[in-house]
Amino acid sequence: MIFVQQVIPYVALFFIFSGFFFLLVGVVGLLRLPDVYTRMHAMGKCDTLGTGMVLIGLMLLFADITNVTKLLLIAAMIATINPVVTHLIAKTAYNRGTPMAEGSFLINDYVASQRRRRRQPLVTEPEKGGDIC
Amino acid sequence: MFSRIRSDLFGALFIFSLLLAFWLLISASIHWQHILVGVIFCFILTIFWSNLTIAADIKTGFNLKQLFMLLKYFFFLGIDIVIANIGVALIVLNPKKPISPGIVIMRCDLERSLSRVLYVNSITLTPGTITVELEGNLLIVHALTEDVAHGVEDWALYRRLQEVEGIYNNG
Repeated sequence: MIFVQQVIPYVALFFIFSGFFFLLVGVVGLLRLPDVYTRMHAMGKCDTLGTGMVLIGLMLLFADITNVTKLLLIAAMIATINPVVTHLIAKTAYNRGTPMAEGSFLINDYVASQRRRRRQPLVTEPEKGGDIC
Repeated sequence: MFSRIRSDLFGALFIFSLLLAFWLLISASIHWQHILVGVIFCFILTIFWSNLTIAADIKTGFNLKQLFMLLKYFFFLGIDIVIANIGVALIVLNPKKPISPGIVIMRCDLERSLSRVLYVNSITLTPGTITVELEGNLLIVHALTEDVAHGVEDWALYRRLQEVEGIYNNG
């Protein structure tokens, strides 16, 4: 028990500093990557793991139920608000026609998957019936 | 004000117990005065906001299998986020900058709005992909590298969500 109590602060420090590392990677990506969309990849994403790991470290440090509940709520709010705002920025940039970096590819899977879907019922339905029976 | 509660008593009870659980977690004491104040306030809140928290036509129902599948979904989503995050960190820190960004246009056949939101949010949370637009069944995703783009097209989590939705439709 005493051993665990001695180890926990170091584990918490490990989580907090690796969270800082991911936030730092986010900032480096913001400076290095070429256009709006790719910068958002670096910034919006390293936030999720970075803040999450810092919060886990804080939870280990304040190991009592009220603070852990509050930190869990903060984590849930970050995990829901962050993707929504990232999506809004991306949507606005896309609809305004913000240019992408040179050499961007475009894969159109929509038409192909529509065809696959049209073909699917003929092929897979007998198999499915067999599985259930 | 009371009509929604009368039509869906189980939903009101669920919201009441959720609020009470939150109150008990935050106050962290089982003194009877704390519990009494909590019960009174949860009751008032449930009645006062009933026309926002309880849907008019859908009855609140529970499907334990569905809940279990959702928990499994969140577990695998967490693993995916960690793995992909390390991938993005490696790409950013690589001095050669091996990126090839681009747009993927694909189909999304989920019908319930909640599972659509979950799917789109988990695409955005997974590093390397951002949802740009979801309109009808047209889904536009921005990907950081081409490998990631091909990974999004048949994602294991999408099939999981489809299974959850199938259970909802049957039961």
